[in-house]
Amino acid sequence: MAANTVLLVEDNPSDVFIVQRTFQKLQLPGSLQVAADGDEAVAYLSGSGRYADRERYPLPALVLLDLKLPRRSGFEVLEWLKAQPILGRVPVVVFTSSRQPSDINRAYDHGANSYLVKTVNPRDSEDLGRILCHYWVKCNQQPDLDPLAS
Amino acid sequence: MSDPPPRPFAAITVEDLERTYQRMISGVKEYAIFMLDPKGHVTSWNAGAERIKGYRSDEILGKHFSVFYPVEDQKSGKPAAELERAARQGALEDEDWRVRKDGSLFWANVIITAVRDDNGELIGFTKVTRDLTSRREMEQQLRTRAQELERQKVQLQESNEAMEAFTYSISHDLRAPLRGMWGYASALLEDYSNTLDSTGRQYVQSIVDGAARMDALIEDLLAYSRLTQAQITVGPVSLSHVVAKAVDQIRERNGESANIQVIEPLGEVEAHAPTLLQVIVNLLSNALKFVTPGSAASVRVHSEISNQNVRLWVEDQGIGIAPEHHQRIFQPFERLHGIESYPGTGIGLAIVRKGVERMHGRVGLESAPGQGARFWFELPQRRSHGNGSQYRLAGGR
Repeated sequence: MAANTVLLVEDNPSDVFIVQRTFQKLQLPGSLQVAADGDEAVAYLSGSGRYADRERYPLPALVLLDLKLPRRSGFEVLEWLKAQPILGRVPVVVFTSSRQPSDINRAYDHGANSYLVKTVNPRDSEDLGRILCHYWVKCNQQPDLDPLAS
Repeated sequence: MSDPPPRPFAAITVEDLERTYQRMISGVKEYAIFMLDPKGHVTSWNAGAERIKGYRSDEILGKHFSVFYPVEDQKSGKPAAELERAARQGALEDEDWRVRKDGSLFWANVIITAVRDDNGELIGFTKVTRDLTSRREMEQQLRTRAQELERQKVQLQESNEAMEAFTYSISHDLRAPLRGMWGYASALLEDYSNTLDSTGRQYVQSIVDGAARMDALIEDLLAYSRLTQAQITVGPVSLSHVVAKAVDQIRERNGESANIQVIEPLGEVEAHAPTLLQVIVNLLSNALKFVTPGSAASVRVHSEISNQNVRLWVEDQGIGIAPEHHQRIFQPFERLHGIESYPGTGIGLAIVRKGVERMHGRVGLESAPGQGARFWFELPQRRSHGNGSQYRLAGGR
């Protein structure tokens, strides 16, 4: 069974609201989990503490990663994740308001799989959400994340 | 008529030569050339020496040459030391301050050469002095100016960086709350439209409209400030391609109905394709916007070549602009109409002017109220480049 969890790493509550609402409204083929800062994202992905319960907190098919985060920044999360054996296979889509070429290049240098800029217009956000889930959750061939299965 | 035969070389006497040299030297005005006896007394004087130092020959002959030195150098014994060194080394060059007869200082280049007889006995010195005061002043001015430019460059770099950081924070931090505002207001309209009466819905719609306007304003401000700062490099660009692309963008936004007539050929210019695209999109959307309510907009685009420049015209049959406003409308935030009648940020035409100016061109318009507006911009015609490989389509994918 293909995983359909999307882990949103986002500290701004209204941005979390917009993504959650888009998922509900469009009944997107993904179940959304939220980590509110970089440390929590690392805890979730490495399965420490309460995140050890993979029934409740399954490994995601996609990480949707904001760059400007409290504690550990999005870049640090990305760098950490892509350095992990096996776990580093999880596709990461950077989702930020920065259009700076330096940020874009740095994200790809650190192994980001895609880079999307947040839009202000909610209709544009819905379009983006629909395309994103269709591509990364439904179409994309997902990697094996079980350490025992090679 | 033939020249007389040249005098045989052997016939030129030492006396002839000496007379020639003396005449030559006495006439030189740019250099002070004179002689000193072994003790340093002046024994000859030329026109240049008189001009530079201010003494007539009868005033200076027989005087000691130390009077040419500033008092402190005289006290430290510099004149005698220089003669001593010249005698020892054969010659000496110095650049320093010297004094004129009237007491004023000048910056001198001095060469003192020892003169010896056939037995090696010192018989005196020749001294050649140049007045380098104005050259020195010019050098100092150049140095000061260079330092000033360097300082300005650093300041500009700093303010550019500050501006970039500011622009970044506008795009990032100002947009986040706006996104929330727009998102929540839309959610309110969608999820609670049953519990809101029509006035309530109107209020919320106004919040949405305000957020949308603010978003457009931030976008335009960013575009304007990027144009002000970004490095813009020009190269050959086909106007036809860029206009076609701009028309596509406009139709995507305004619907296929937009009536835009393009009269080919438009020619090729030296431009920065993305900036040119933005300029043309803004001119087209401006031309389509300002029509009498109820009537359909129609726009005509054509070009002409004059004096190695291509002038592109964007003409509409809209409401027109009174001549007294023709300059004003290219300023940022200048709007001639209320938001209610014609929406816009007031930056569109400022972007047009800034963009064209950054590409070394000019903008202008011809218009009167009720007679439509004919906007134009002028860019240098495409130079013929040796090979076609530099040819670039407008922002091709």
